[in-house]
Amino acid sequence: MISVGETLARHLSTFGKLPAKDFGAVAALKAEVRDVPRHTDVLRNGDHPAHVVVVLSGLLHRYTIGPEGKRQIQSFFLPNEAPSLETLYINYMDNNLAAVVPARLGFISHDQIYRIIDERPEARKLLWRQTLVQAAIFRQWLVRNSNLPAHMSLAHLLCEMFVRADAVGLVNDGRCALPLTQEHVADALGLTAVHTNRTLQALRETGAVEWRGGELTVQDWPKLREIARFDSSYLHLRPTKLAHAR
Amino acid sequence: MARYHFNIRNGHGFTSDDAGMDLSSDDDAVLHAIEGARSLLSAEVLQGRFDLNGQIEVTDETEAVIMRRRLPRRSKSGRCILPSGLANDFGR
Repeated sequence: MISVGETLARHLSTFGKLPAKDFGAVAALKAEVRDVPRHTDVLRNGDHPAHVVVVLSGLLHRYTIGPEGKRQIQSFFLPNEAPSLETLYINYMDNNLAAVVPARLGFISHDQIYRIIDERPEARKLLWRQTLVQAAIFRQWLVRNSNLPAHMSLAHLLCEMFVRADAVGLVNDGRCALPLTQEHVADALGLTAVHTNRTLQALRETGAVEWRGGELTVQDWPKLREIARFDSSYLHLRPTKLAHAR
Repeated sequence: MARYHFNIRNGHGFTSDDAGMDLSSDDDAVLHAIEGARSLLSAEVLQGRFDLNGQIEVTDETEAVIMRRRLPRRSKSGRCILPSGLANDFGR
């Protein structure tokens, strides 16, 4: 079984080359592993985290509750991703991180990561790059939600999750797990669940994609990309088998 | 909490809501349907069309219909009336 540290080292390697010695140092970090039930907050608004989170299985989302009680989801995090590296250098959470489905999470203390940052410049660059890529993803979500009609917006989200899943080795035979509900998608896209359901139906009818029972199947990747006008460059990933995604 | 399903029939055909959604009461489900209907209509308007024959229905776990409503309907005076009853409705 792959350790939490190695999972983080592999994740950082998706953004650039991590020299073998640095990979080994990150892989050797000690971690606590915890199982979290679905719909549970892992980090809450106002918390002062002392650990970074690594997703080992399941799916997480980051969200804020607006003044009228509506949830806005700002991102989803797949297994093998690290959703809270920014907590290394900000003092408190200004949003919430929660489990969409039962999740197994690794927690690595900030102190250990600070040592990596102090001693290993290549690892430091990739940690920094990872948080900058998070910012790029937030920018893209803003553009998507304010500019695209519903069907393009949904197609864009599915393209992003598919490319990210591929980057961390979770796509098999054109399929990956995506155990979100319509409500999650609606709250990510700023749509109602009714509108999301109608939009998903319309997208299915194109034959480009199927998404049922928590599994995303991309039947026609070029078509799905075309519907979404998807350009994966904002993800800043090293080339993968979906390199033609760009 | 109970499971409700929101089925739509409009110019695109029939869309059944197989997944459904957990809500606290029938009233909550009706408000949810109204909100959903309005969001569908607003998207249609932005795309330059407006289907006056659309319909939304809410069913519960036993597939009993809790509510069935035309999306917009035309009043006698020729005005278009949207499904109403949301907290942010201003005196119509």
